[in-house]
Amino acid sequence: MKRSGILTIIMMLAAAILTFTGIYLAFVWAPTHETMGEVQRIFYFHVASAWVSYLAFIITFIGSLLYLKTEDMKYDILAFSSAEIGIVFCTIAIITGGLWAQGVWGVFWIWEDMKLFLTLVMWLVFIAYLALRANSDPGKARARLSAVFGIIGFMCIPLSFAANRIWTQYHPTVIASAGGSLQTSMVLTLVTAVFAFTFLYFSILMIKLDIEKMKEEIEEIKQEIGDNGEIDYG
Amino acid sequence: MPDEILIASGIRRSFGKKMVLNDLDLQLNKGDIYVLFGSNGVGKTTLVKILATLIHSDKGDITHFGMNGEDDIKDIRRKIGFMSHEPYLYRDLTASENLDLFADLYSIPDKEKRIEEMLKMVELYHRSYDRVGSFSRGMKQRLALARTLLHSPDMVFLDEPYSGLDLNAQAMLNRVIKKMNEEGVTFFLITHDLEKGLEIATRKGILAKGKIVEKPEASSQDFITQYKEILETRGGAKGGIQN
Amino acid sequence: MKPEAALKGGSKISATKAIFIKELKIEFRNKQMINSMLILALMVLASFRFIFSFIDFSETELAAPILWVTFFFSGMFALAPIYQREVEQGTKECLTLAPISASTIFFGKFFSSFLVIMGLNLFSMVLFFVFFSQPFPDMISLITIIVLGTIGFVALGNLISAISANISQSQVMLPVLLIPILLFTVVMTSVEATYQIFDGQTLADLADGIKLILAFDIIFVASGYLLIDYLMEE
Repeated sequence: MKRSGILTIIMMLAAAILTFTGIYLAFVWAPTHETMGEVQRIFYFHVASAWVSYLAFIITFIGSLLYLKTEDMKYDILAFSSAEIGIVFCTIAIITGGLWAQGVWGVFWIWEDMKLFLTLVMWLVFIAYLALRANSDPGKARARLSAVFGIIGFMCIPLSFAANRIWTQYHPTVIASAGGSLQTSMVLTLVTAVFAFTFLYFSILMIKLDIEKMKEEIEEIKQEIGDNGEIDYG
Repeated sequence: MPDEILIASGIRRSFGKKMVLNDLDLQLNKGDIYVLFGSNGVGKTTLVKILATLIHSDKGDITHFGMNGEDDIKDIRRKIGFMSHEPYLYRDLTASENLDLFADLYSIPDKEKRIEEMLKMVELYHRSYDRVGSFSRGMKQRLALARTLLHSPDMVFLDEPYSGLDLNAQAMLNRVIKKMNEEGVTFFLITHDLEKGLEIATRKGILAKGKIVEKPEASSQDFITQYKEILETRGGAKGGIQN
Repeated sequence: MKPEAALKGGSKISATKAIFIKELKIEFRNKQMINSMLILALMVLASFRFIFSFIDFSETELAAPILWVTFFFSGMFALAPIYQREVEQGTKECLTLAPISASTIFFGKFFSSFLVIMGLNLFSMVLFFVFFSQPFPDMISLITIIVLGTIGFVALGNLISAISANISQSQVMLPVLLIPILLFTVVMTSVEATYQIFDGQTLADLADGIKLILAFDIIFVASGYLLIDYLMEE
């Protein structure tokens, strides 16, 4: 690791400390929710991972835009790495969200709930994004194709928000949202969890970017050796 | 128009892990018939596609007709003709419809007359209204030539133009190249057919190890010998042909 | 040749028209393709008829999803070859080398595939009324919604077709890329609007939905226009 090494280590330390604090706060310190009960504790991690997946996909979107503008491969790597991490967190968010909904609403999934719906759309879009990358050869062509898809895919999320609004206008939500406000200690726990996951995201991202950069350096070294006639172009 | 029609310097291109072109330099002057030889897989097709603005190089600079860059790309392309070793035609369209489409895309004035002229040149006029799908490979290749020359380009790139043509058509192709060259058209063609290529070349080179080895002074006989030497050393990887 | 005269706007329209006519000629000469799409629409509708002869359902309520699932699947097969045949026949290179912008190609193909897919959808619609003995809703409203929805479908479908043509497994990848971005935007809204029309409403009652579909159409056509450049170059 080079320059980014120290920063990565700091990020990882922060992520580790905050995650353990968050686990303690969520499971021990924070009081049980008055109406939702114990199951509400999963909510802290659910919100944090959902937030990180949104953040990760926004970074993919920005990386895709920057790639098309600059044709610099580092933005392609950024977009791809972030999408991969985003999918992991998005999956966690969907599973924890389902568990929470099962406890609170009695069902795993409610189509009318906007946040659930959008998270699922996002998950599907970026699964498709990763499938697109898996099915094309590395290089500028792949970078361009996936950047275009990353942009369209991300753009479709606010659009599907609007589509869902129209939909729910005619199909009113049957299940009333569970009431009950959050106490101060719960808010604090939530904030800790969100920060913990954010740091975790950035440290994973940095490690992944480092790995990709090393892969590129290896390629460059191979090509330099080739310049001296060691590798056959034939 | 400047005398140097095309200047390429420091062209690099790799596919995945394999570098096919390595700091390649090339200059084409008006009126050249530059024939580049090379065995299969040395990157001839990649080079000709880069020169014809079809794909980008990883590094390096190319100037066509004194123009450079994305802004002039349409003007450059208007003056370029490119024919690949695959015919690249629409099989569900007839011969004249294929040409008609490109006549519209290049906004060729008086297109019916021009299309007729081109079809007669490649001896396909009697098949104008037949679908390309029913053509033999040689006929497709001739039609592809007609499409390449349709918009009277100033510079023509030909990628293995002799493949799939019978002797008669090969001779026709060389006649067309010579005739157009007299009118000032520059040609750059790549082939591994030494005999046909040397027949028309005014400049000749060999592509090996990602670079061009130019042998302008060599007589045909010497050139053939040297080419064979390069072919033999190619497998050995080490040393070989630095200049 | 006179480049300065040829460069003007007129040549752009005539080039778009040339591509449009070429695409239509290819579609209609290749009779197997159109025939297979018609047969596919027939099969999808027959499957629905079969399924719903076993279970009890309200035909009026399911009319909209049945129609749009049929449109979606038959349309997808019509979209797949649009760019793929250019790649397979190598003609993509010739189009790229012509002194025209990529958006010219996009619009030529957009208009021709819109005509083909719209014809296909109308055929499916007629078949639907044959299979499911439904009372006719307000036909003008129904067809308007189908036209509007198809514009968005075809616009984004063309763009995704240009992506999938350049990757491996393109036949499978087209639906993979298309479903997450189309289903939750233009298709969802169109299904909703179609549902309302079968429920006895007319266009005037559906202003919100129609505005939204129009917005999708505009956004999708615009993103096709802006992004196609990156997909044609290599």
